[in-house]
Amino acid sequence: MLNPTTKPLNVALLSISAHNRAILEFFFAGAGRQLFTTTDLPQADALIVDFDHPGAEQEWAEFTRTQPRPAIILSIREISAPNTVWVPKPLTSQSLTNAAARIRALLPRNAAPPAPTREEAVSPPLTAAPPGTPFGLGEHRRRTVPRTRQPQPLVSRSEEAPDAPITPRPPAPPKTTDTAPSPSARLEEAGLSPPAPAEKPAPARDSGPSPEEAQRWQQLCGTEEGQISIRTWHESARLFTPENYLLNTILEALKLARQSRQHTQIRLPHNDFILLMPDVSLVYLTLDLYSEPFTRLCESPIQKGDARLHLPSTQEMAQLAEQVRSDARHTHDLEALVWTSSLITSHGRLNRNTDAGKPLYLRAWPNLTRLEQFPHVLRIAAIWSQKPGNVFDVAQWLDIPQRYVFAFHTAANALGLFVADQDKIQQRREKPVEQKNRGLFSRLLRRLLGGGRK
Amino acid sequence: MITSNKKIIFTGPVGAGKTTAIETISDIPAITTDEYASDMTKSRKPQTTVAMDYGLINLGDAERIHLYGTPGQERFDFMWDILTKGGIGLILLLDNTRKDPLQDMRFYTNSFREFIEQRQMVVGVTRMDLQRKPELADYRLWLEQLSLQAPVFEVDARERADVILLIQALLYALDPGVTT
Repeated sequence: MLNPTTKPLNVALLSISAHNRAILEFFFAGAGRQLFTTTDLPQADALIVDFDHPGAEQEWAEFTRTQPRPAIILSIREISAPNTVWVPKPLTSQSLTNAAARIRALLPRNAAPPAPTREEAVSPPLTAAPPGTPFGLGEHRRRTVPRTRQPQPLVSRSEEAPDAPITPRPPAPPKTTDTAPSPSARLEEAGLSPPAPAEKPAPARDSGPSPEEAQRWQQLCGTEEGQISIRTWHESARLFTPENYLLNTILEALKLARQSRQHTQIRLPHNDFILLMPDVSLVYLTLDLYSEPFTRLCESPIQKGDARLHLPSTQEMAQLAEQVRSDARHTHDLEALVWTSSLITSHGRLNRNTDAGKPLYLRAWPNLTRLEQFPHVLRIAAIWSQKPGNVFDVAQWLDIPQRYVFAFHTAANALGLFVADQDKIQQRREKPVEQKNRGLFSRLLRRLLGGGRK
Repeated sequence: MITSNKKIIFTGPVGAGKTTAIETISDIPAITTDEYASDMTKSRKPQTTVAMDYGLINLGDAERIHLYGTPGQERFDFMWDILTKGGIGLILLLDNTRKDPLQDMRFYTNSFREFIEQRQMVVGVTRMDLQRKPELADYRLWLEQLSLQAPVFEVDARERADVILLIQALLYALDPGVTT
């Protein structure tokens, strides 16, 4: 290993493309600053050559014939040549550090440089550079391209009307009601640290939720503020029976579609229908998923015969395929149908058929970029993916109204995202919760969500 | 006076949307270091990041969040050790239209394994509108097989709301007790 107090080795880069050179200079300016410094060929003690670069081997051979120097050879294939050290790709800090030590052993004695003072040897910590200086890039090689044009699209959206995206933008994250610190004891119980000291007042958002957002959240999560306990929840009025609702038929259809691997139709009153397409995990609805009519269909118990499962014939499938093609804006992810219909059905209530007192953890987050959001949904997902607990625990840990947790529980459960196996729960590794940056995180969130100082 | 500097690192294969994601949320015109690719990356996009992309979120006079995008080329992983110093967390962007997204996920999570275990990763899958498979469930399963816990979302790197949600998830995963 290289003596950390040794002066950096003067190296010249030979047969290295401009972008590989930029990367190496990045390394030399940072972690490798004690190892190498780049110089012109005449002053170099050693060379670094990229043998994967076209013509590199020949250029190196010609150069060393007249001016022999030890060389570090970078290559994906093993290179064995006198006076060289091969470093395989991909390059790592460790391999370059080792190569630096080995190449020094090949240097002529009089090339050994003096040791620097201790102060010189200690490189400053690599922290982020000020704006305009992407740290680590060699000054002379830096190529900055200011953004003077709109970013080029990565992809073009397929077959969507521009004003009607396939997935509506979920409501903006809420202005939360929990700006006051949560009770320390509850957070500690959850393995969380107590909240940071109160921040200087800053706007949580430029504005609160719009009336439409607030109304939608009421449809999804209800308005109930009261608390129910683990001992009495099964006697509570805040329960629903899934068999009475469209949700149950949707879940049955999903099961049938997946098992049979066939498109499955749910026929609804007034010739409306839902078509589940399990092969592509999509669903087509004649009703808008986020419309009042669909909400009404989900929020009230349905009559027997109002929602019937049907496996379309080949002929019917041809017609349906044409309809789906010509009306792509009513196509959604399957998860979006299950999620939204679950939330509407729950309306902030618990599923009567689940054991609400049983601890669970979330094995995966819902796809919240493409699903409807509601207050606290990200925090609920975060804590439930880290720490097993029942619905009452989660509401208490986060100090939020239970209705949001009940709604989340219903929807995530319908998506099969929970693990209830007690053995797995006990094996679950709990990641220590970050706490020292809580104030910073709060400010960053406020800034991203539209408030906070610039 | 600047008293606090933290980083969020965006990584992933060439063309997954790292540069675009940084441009989407940066307070300053993102600094990109592009040049014409001369190797196999050429087939995926005409220009590719050579060193890193850089953007910034200002939190006031005394605080900044620096956004760094790693180069897509796989053979320079030594850069990433340096980049992650002082990092809040990692956002891994994967392109669903690439030949083997699982291999991409394996490569990048392996390269950043220590950092991910110490901090947190969030995965954003791009171009799912062009190719439905693999599905998010597949990515979740692969993460499980890699013994990693991380949120996975479908994203469009051009959509500010999507990129913001990735960062929100990162922060809440680090500390669910954060409030706004």
